[in-house]
Amino acid sequence: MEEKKLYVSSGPHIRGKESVSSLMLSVLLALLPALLAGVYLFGLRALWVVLVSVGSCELFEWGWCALTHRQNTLRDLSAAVTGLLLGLSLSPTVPLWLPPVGAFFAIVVVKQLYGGLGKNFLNPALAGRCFLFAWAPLMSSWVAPRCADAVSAATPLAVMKTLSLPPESLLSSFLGFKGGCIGEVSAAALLLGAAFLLLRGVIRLRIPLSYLLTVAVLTFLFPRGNERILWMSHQLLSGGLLLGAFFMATDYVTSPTTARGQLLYGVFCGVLTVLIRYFGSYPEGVSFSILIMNLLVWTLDRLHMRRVFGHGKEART
Amino acid sequence: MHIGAPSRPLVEVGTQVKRGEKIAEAQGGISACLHSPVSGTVSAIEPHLTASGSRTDCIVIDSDGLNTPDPSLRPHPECEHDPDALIALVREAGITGMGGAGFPTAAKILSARGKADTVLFNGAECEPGIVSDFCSMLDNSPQLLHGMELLLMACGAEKGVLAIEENKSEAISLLSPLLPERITLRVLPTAYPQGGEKQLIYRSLGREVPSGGLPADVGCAVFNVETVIAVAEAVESGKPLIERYCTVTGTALQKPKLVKIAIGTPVEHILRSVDPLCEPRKVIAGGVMMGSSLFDLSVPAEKGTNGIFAMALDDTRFREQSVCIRCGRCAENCPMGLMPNYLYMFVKKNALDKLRAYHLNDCLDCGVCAYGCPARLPLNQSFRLGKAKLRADDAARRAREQAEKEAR
Ligand code: SF4
Ligand code: SF4
Repeated sequence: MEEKKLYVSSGPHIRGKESVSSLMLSVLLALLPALLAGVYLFGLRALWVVLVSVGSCELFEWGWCALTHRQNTLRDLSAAVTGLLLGLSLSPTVPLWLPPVGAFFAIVVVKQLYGGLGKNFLNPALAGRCFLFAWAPLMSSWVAPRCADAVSAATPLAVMKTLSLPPESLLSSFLGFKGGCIGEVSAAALLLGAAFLLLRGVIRLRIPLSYLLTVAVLTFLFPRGNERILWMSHQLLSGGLLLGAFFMATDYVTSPTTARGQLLYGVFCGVLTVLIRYFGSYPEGVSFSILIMNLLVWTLDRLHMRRVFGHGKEART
Repeated sequence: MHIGAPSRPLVEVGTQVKRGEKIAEAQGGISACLHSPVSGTVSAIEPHLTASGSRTDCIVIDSDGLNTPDPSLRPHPECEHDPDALIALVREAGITGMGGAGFPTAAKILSARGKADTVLFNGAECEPGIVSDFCSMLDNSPQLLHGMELLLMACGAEKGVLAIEENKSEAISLLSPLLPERITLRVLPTAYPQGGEKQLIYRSLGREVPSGGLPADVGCAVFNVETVIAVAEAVESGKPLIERYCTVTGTALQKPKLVKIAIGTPVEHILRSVDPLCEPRKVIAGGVMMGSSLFDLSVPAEKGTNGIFAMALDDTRFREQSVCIRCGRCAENCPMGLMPNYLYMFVKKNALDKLRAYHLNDCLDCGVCAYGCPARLPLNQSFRLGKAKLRADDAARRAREQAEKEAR
């Protein structure tokens, strides 16, 4: 061993197994059931929308790195996650030129212009989606008889106005037999993926749970119509709530890192979602709520730092 | 080889020494005596590399292989009930904390005297993979019991608590029936880092050492079990601190082994004695989380060297560094409640005020944050840099204030 050189580094000399790409890969896997359900329900067309979205996100990421002479970051898989989330939150009937527009906004404007992974303060996929929403004329072109976004996302809105419940049974809504965006319709598939992420330790329950509970409590307390429980359940199952709560609000980069911050973040997301659903003009409450809360993440973190050891007034016994 | 002022050699090149003979005298309160772990001849007194990577004056002794003990070593029954005599003996025997940091034990007893109502005996290994504390407890339970009584007496404390991790069931079942009434056994969950004083006190007693404070501030003193045993041995036979248990393990070795080493033995000899054919590519003195990796295997084992890890190449994983994705794992896991993700950013930005506001100086350097970081950022490594910057900044400010005062 005298002749051979020794490696020297400073501790810790062992590292955990998790890496950025392993985490992102888990998210991709967890979204697979939702994708499969979407393709099953809406046909191959849905698959195309998602593939174009993922492909264009990857392409913009690669292009940006090439253009700015930065190290290629495709391997961290974060662009693929953005692409998948964006694709899943589109209607299966959108023209195929639309996903790339959203992808450009998500990857180039929201993510890379702010310094790339970890520095963006808005969730790229959500921002991309809302960018497409904001171009109002496109909205109407999404509407299709069976699976228009308007059916799922706007139904609560319509119901709120007409004070009636949606036509589907809770079970078919849970399984996904209703109109809506590709990845939003099947609550069963989304929960399956979410369970995987939770068990794998990729995400924690704090944000989704506080988010969903807040929505549940608010819609239970202020139902439109007489059937509280049914109203609440439809609110929880429809629109992008489950996809948003488990997969978008939990995005590491754009959510708080402190435990209490995370709880509050979920609660505020829930309140905003219900407010927008009840009183807003857009059918979609989830995306905007999360995006608005994205802006407050650093403030939440700062206000809710853990008590540093040895700085308390009183030691706990 | 320990914290505090270097000790002053008492021998010259050519001096014949016996095993256990004092070869260097402590200088000042926070310092420790050194004793020869072998009998033989002093062949050099020269600067030599140590595990920390710096050069320190070392006394090199050529062993005659006989290990003839120093005849002047004798039992010290007078120390059984006399705190001052015990402290003097502990100092004379060169006993330091053996869990890692190596704070001279006599100084620690003095700082705790009259302030500590409870003395904690630390049998919770400081790092994963090290079993030195565990084995020393099993092998030397009479000395451990004796030493605990002695230290309680010396600190003037009423109660003692022996803390052992729950996976060391053998030690628990062996010791729990033997403990006297005023020493209670506290079984802790197996976790890292709880061998550290602040964590151990909190987990065992629910007391929180204030930031920048000492265990004595919350009425505690903490002694590692091997230190306790060394104290008992000094009283029983006059034996100074010249050997210790050391866990030798790692992927480069055929079989891990727990060995009793003479303090001062070159790491290379220890490795060779465990596995003559080993070809390690990375060697760590101490534990895998906080130990230092060596760039030369001739460095001596120290009083605090509780483990030696010899890694084969595949262990030294070269992993790609990514960027912070704000996953929050580091903040979730930090035992001190810090926010490493923000600290890392502030170190990079050189934002010293922010570093202070986010309590960088409370960081233990335990490495938990960097261990779990999926982006593999050098978190605690950068914090060391940050702490150095804060120290430099403090020093500069003090100098400025001094200059201003003088100008006035
Ligand atoms: S563990 Fe690493 S990636 Fe996660 S928040 Fe901390 S520094 Fe960032
Ligand atoms: S090294 Fe990291 S985990 Fe350990 S105390 Fe410091 S900041 Fe916290």
